[in-house]
Amino acid sequence: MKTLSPSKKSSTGRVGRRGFLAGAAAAGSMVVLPSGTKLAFADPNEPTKGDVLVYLFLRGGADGLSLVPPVGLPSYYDLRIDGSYNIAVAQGDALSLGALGATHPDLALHPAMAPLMPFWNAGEMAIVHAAGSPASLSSTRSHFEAEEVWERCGRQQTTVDGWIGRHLATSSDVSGNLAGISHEQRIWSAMQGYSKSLAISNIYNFDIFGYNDRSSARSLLDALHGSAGLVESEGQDTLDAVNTIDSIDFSAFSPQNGAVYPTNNSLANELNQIARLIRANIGLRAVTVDIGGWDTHNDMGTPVPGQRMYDRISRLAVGLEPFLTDMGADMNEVTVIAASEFGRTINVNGSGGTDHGRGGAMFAFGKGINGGIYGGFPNVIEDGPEGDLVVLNDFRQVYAEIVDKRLGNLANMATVLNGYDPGGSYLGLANTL
Amino acid sequence: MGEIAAATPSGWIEQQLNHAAIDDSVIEGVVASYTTLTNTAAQNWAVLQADGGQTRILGEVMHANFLRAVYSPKHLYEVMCDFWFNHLNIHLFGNYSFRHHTAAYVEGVIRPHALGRFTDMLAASASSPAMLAYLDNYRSNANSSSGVNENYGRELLELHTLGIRDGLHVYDEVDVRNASYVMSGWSIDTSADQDVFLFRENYHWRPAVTLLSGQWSRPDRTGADAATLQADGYSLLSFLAGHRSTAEYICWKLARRFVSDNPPEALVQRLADEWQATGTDIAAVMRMLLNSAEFASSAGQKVRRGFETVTSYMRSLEASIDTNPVGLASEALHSLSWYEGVLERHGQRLFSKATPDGYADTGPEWISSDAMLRRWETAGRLANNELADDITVDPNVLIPATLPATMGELIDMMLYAATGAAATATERSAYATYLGVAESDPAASHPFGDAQLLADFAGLCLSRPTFQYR
Repeated sequence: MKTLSPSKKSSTGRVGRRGFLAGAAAAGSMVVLPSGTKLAFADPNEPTKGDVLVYLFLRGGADGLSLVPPVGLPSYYDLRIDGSYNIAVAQGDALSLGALGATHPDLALHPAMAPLMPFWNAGEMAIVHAAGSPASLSSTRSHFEAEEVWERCGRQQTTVDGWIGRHLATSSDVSGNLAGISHEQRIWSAMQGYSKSLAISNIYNFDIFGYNDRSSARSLLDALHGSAGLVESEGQDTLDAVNTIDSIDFSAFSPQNGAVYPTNNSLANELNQIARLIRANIGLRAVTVDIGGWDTHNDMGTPVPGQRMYDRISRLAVGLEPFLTDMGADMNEVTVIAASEFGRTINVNGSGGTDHGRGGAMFAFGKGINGGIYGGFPNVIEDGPEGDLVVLNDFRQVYAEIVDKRLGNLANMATVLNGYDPGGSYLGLANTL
Repeated sequence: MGEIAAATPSGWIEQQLNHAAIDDSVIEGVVASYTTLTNTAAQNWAVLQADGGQTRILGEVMHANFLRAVYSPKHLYEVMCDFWFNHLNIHLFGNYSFRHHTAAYVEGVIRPHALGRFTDMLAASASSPAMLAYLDNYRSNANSSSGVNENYGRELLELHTLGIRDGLHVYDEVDVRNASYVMSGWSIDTSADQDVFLFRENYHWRPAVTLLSGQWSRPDRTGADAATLQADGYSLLSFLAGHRSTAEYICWKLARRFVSDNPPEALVQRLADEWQATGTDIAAVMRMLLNSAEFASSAGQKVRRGFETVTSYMRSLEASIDTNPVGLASEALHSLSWYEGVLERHGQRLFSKATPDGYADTGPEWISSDAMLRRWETAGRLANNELADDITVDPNVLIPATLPATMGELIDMMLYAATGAAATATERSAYATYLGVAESDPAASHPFGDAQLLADFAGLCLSRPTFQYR
């Protein structure tokens, strides 16, 4: 019932800065819809619109000192090698960051990050280390509290919505009913505050099932749901979204540029769907996705395959690489932020792992990103009173720069970031739209 | 939960609180055949390693507690068991080497104390191999060069006792470390693959320890014997269980479960007073909560969570279920797919929250577009007997034995039978349109002779928005 050109760029010959969404809009006009279908595509995408934001969260407190080890600091080895445990990344094993990393010569990448090196070398990957929540906002080492702080830019009960939700609620780019999606069963805290935020865990089964007469069932459900009440309004939004999602043949948006999403990697599977959602030109502006398993209290191991930390980082890099490859030139309209709720203690603990800490590593990817390492990092890492990497870089600095330069929502900065506004003073990790 | 809201008379509450006197011999008779629930750790270790053993170990504990949730007459008690498991959460699908402890954790730690004293439950949890493994305390060695593992110590303060409410907590990082010191040495004897509790004296931190600015302390224990060192741990657990911050935090969670996502603080304070006055007597606190005006006016304020959605659907349609999860004849029938399918789709596979905070308990966490589709889908599949091979319903149970005069009245009666609440005029009209009838048509002309239509209609009764609340 619908046909879409999978190779829109070659068919239109448009490779300009906003080419792919313009191309997709043209392709979108080829969608054949049954008459009477409620369809609320976004306005035709324009070059002035902001990026699609992919917010990738590493749940569990990812160890920034493994992801981006300070191999130039002897104190790192003093604290990561202790008794029978050695969880340090040796300088010879780490991936050198070369000229782009010259501002922070002590830092390198974990060897399992190798699949992402092409994007680093192309200047499309930014790193902010020692990133976290300043004590004035929250110094919690609780996973659950810290995740809320990152997602809401505030505490759970005094801040009822999330930073992306507030962006979507105020952005002039947003229209239609599919602008904000948590690629999960639940809507993230980060997405709350935008009334049409959706949870779609799988685009291929986002439909009404379980009834002999699905069409009549849908009509009755439509009559039963409305605008008042949590369940009633979510039901209505769901039915509206089903109508749109149902009309799209996602198989038409096959991976580009030779990208191969490994089927045994759940992050890759999710990003494969997200790429299709972006290409379907349904007005998607922001999507959240996570990868768990970072709460490494024990047995982090050495940086070789089969060891816990290596395998975890590998799943991240192997899962993210095909998305970045697939989107290719279209990454000039997509920004990926990867973050975790906190870093971990510097000193290896009595189980070969690390406990909850403070500063961690944050990443941004995209053609609108200036490759490099930004913000401060200590000259010596010390096992201080609380045993962790200090927070030198407020995570909201990264959000703020992206909100302004990539999402085009400077006018609502203080709203989006719950009162935080650096007044135009940025780290410099992104280019203006 | 519908039953609780519908029957607030204190007599019903007392009956439910005195759960030991409720006859649940039918359901417990079924569960008694699941021998892994009562096996020793050594026996279950042997089961785990046998062919099909993992399916049996995991399947029996999940299935037993799923059956209890649907069929036990001890409604309140089963709800409390669910609450406390999530409060002191472990992960069924965690480390393979410790999966054989899950049943003992449910049966021996949570269920005996679910309406008993919290202090006792906390102590049982702290010394259980399942918890010791889940939060790494069994390996926490204060005398190794790298020191304690503070995973358990942190969650003990943050999640199990003192708590965090809106970012506020009474403990600090030094307290986390010191709690980890006091609990160091609480470990497991893994030498015989039986994994029984073992206090490892040589792992224990012996210097003096102080918590919460001196509210709890113990002196330097150089030279003290193991019994003394372990008693310090029990002393700390007891102190924490009865602390005002614990009382407020847990009573807030209880009120959030039973009353509303943002429970009245005055109620929380009254409950916390009772918690402390009774020495953490859970039944006493629940008596006060269930008799409160706040609870009486709470109907319809809470969204059913994923698990409750499935069990409430089954109760409404009086589903029958094959009770032998891994019997020789039906092992294939009861692969774990049932749970990994239906409950996973609803975001609440039993005993399977990987993180120690347990499943969420507020509406927005459970209501999303994905959740709405699954709620409608499960209702339809259940009514059409397509949910699982071993679950059977007959949607004819919704049709009253004596038909009323009109279709409008019949729709009312069937919606009430399915969901326990009367239809609004809008709903009645919508369901009539769906059936292609006029409300004034005679009920005797109903179209439910069409079994597929009846099944779909039954599923759509369960899908009614108000039934997603409790």
